[in-house]
Amino acid sequence: MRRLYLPLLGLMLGVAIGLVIEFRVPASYARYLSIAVLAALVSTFGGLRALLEKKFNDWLFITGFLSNTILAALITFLGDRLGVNLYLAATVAFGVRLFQHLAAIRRRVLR
Amino acid sequence: MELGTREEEPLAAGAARPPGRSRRLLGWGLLLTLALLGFLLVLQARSQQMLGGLDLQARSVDELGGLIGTLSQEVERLQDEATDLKSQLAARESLFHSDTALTSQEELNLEALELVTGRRSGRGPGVVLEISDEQGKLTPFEFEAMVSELRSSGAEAIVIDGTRVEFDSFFGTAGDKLTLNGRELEPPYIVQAVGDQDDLVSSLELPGGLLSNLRALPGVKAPLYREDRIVVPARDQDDLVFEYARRAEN
Repeated sequence: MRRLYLPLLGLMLGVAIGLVIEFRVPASYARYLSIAVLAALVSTFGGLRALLEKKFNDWLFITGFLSNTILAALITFLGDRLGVNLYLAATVAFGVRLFQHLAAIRRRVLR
Repeated sequence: MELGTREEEPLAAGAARPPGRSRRLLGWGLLLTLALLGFLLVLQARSQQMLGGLDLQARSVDELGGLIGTLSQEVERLQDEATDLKSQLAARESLFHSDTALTSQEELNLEALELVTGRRSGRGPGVVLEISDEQGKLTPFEFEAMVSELRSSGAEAIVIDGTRVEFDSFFGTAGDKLTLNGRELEPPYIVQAVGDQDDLVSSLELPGGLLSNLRALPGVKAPLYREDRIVVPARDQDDLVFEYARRAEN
């Protein structure tokens, strides 16, 4: 559990920075931000799960987090351009993944 | 959509664990990544707050239709209000302009009244008659005729021997002397008239006009000059007071 201190510190730091900086995303980009946040959450819980399953790899987590976040927003954007509602697809995919991760974490913790 | 986490790939803990410096680097990377997550979360919360919690993605088509209807009505109402207010503004503005126009018109009226009543002195270009009467042939009648003639020729103000001829001025005699407003006039009589010089000269010099009639009298000479600056003195009496005449109410 000692390995959680640094990520938690980072999380609090990020929240603090977000609260201090009065930065707002334009409403037209709100969709991309939403899906990016969802992707980031999924990656984070995936990382937590990997940690509990003793399979965690820092490098994989960082690259996975960044690429998931950016790609999610990009694919939603692409979907909007193509007239295909990839936003929905991404939401479902990430949602399923999120619940899977949460279930795995729950099982790991309760065991 | 293989966007999922690759952390699930079999990776034995510590199997490919990089030692020393790069581990610390990865620790910082982890910190920054989670910081990014926190930042994104706050950003998302704020943008949702900004959107007023209207998660349109989650609404059904019927709900969205109702929403559009309500909002369209609201937009229409606000547009009506804007139109109404704009027309009110236009009305107020035109009212304001007519108000100021009235004021400048009133100012002009006031200026004209001040000049007419002699409350203020005036000046302007015009003509000067120097009438000498060696045999005393001139009577108040000639002066009345002269003033009428000057006025019909476009004279806006008339001064005789330094006394302005006003709406209530009168000529008379005192012994063998002529008077204006009861004040004695001395020959040669200097008659100044403010107005368009060309008009005044041409109509006064008309054959059978004022000057030819005057000059027909024995001993009367009346040379006519143009003068560019005639000063019309202010009324030398007290302020006008009407004791009997009253403004008629309309």
